[in-house]
Amino acid sequence: MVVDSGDLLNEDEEIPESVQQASRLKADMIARVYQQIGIDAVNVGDLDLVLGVDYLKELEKKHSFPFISANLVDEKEELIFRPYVIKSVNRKNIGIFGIMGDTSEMASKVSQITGETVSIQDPLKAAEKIVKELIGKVDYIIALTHQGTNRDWVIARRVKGIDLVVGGHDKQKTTEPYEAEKTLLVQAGEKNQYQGMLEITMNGTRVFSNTLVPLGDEIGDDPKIKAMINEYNDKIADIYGGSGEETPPPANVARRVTVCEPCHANQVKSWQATDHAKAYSTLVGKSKQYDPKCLACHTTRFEQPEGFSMKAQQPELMNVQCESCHGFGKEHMSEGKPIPVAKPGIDLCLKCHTPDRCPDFDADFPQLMQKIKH
Amino acid sequence: MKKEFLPLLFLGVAILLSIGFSIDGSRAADSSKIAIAYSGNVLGYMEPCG
Repeated sequence: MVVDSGDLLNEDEEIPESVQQASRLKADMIARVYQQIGIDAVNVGDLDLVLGVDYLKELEKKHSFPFISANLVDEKEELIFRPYVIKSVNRKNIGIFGIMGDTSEMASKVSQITGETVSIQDPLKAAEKIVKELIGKVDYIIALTHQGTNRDWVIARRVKGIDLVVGGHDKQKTTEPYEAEKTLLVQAGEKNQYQGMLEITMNGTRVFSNTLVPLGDEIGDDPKIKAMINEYNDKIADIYGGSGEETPPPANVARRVTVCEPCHANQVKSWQATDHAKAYSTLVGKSKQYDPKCLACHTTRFEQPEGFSMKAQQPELMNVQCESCHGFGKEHMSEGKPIPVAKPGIDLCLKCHTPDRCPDFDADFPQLMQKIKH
Repeated sequence: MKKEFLPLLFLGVAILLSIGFSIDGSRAADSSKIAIAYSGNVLGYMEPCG
């Protein structure tokens, strides 16, 4: 059985117009991949809703991709997705229902994302109702939640009859499942660094074993899945003007950095020796040069005013140039105003050097700064 | 950049497929067990950019 607790398809709270098509293509591909592996249920996460309820419904229909939610309702207070599914495994019936947390932050976010067309009903009441409906019909009840671990504890303690809570939203990694009386609580971190694997013995003892399988590069590609990735890369290359072939960035285009060079020649020289100056080429080597999620950190001021844009694909704004860290220099250059960020701090670096990409970035920050000192 | 993790969704899927097959095998051997592969907060992640 394969389940997901939500925020599967998208990371951003807002998707710029120019990135919409790429985001939907990616979501479509992920749905195809999960269909291929035989996904049993996906809880709807707040960030999945950014793609639009209609689009999620479309994906569900197109790929037999089962979204569930027992407490997301429309303007008529009617459930938008099916609240639960029942699956049969080894002659055992497993009931799986989905829940989203209703904190004021989450409620406001969902309202904003959906233009006030979707709201969240009380998760505890919704869970109680579904569990009552499932008891007697199934041998095991799984709640896929998107609300954070603290609230998972509450639902596990307050709603009797749930056997397992697969949590999400707060990106926790539970090597050892928590046990809230008879309910197990698990969560598999974020960005597929790990695949959670839980095995339950269904002989009355409910003995379990849990493993978080690290998904590193020691695991080989699956040919069918790799073909889907290649197809996605080719499609976005077609959309955004490339051929999909691994062509290097044009070398004869004046980079944005050249306007800084007359006054900051030494700094530009130092920068040229850094990986920031080659950031775009690394994408080309992996056919990722049209992937907006990659371009955001491998170009200058991605989708910001006069920054690199998916539509324009400006060669002069490829790579991580001066304005990526020091801010937009237009007024600095035209009116002599101070550059917006004279000394960038670690917070700015962490926007791209995230823990999943650079696990020890915090600790190594002083040495890393030496590498780009200018 | 350190690469202690190369979190690859689709390599993940590959392992999931292989695990899936082994689950099927164990199901045949021991019908009292169920295996649940779970994920969350995947956030549209595909594979490392470069």
